[in-house]
Amino acid sequence: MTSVVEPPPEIAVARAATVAYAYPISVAQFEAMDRHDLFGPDEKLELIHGLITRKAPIKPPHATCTAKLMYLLVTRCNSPWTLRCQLPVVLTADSMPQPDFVVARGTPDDYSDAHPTPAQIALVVEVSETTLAFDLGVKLALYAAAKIPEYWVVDLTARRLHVHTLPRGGKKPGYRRTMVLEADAEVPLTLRGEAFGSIRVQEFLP
Amino acid sequence: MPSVAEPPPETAATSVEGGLTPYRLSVAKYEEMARHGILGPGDKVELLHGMLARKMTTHTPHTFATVRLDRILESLCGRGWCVRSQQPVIASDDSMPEPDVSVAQGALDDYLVRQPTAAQTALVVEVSDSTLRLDLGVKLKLYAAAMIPEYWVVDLSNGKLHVHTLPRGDKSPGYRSTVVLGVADAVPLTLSGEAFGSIRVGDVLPPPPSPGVSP
Repeated sequence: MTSVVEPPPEIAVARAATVAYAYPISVAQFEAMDRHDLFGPDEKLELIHGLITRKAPIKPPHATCTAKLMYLLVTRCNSPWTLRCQLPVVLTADSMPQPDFVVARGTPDDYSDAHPTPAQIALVVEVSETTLAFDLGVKLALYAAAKIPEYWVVDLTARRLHVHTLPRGGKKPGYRRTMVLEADAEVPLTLRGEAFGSIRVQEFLP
Repeated sequence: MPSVAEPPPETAATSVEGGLTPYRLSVAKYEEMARHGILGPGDKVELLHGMLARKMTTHTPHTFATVRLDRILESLCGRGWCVRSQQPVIASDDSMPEPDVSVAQGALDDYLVRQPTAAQTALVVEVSDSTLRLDLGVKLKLYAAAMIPEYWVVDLSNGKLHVHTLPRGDKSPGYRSTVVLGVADAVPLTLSGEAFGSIRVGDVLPPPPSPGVSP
């Protein structure tokens, strides 16, 4: 009936949760916009399923959690892993989010020409204060579809950590296993099968 | 007989679900994207509320109605009016839709530097097949908020013409008058209060397929 090219189902699902008529742009177009200074200097932007989205401003509790997690992760992620904070990753041709933390293989210099891609990533962490629905919805599906092996969401309001493992792509992307850890629980830090000790959740809560 | 229809229910397309905050482009930045070649001929888009919106690929009934309307309007409008087909209209700082047909003041070369603004536009027409919800929802509000005096929607599926007049551009923009016309009805063409005859709705719509002939 219509001659519109339909996006793949998984993108259609995520886009239904965004804007029905949005035209998705590519990471290349998004980067070209940045190169031509189309965005203001203080804009924190992510490309999610081809839609340019604004990141929520970081409030003090989020900042505190990030600062604590930074120390805890950087002291544990030894070579050959590198920790990146609020920097872009390229997940698909039309998604380039900036998670709060990414643990990627290699050294920072390995990414001086191109941002990390899913095959190079072991862990993604998002800190949620006002964005829990987004981080456990659209973003979770995005990371699962990209086969990010482990995805953590810090829920600052409920003081809990959601640990997602065993990504499942397909039509309804998600993680096969979800553990919700309370403040006194310990989360093991595992990077692509390799153990790097564990962290008590309350150590990084404000 | 024309029937007065209730305006369609609100569409939720402008509100964003899933917790996303979309970045909204200005018309100026959108035009810059095109100038730098970031948006190419393959990107069939228009700018609605600061967001790039997909333009539907047209198929034959849509093309038929658009070309018919373009020709009829061209023949009816006097010298002071410019009929444009699928060309941009600056509806606001962050919206530049490309309606199927629009009628702007003046001549074609009045718009060599800048696309017509809403204030320069007397009539906007969208031809709808799969886009009726968008055209009677988001787009209707957009044109009403821009105070486009008259907005027509050709509903190809149901063989109707929706004629919207008396825009109301407050917090919930819309048109005060909506008249839905059938094929036998005629719509008067009025541009900024001046009458230019009328158009029979049946002359715009593609003829119904002959019985027994499969398309």
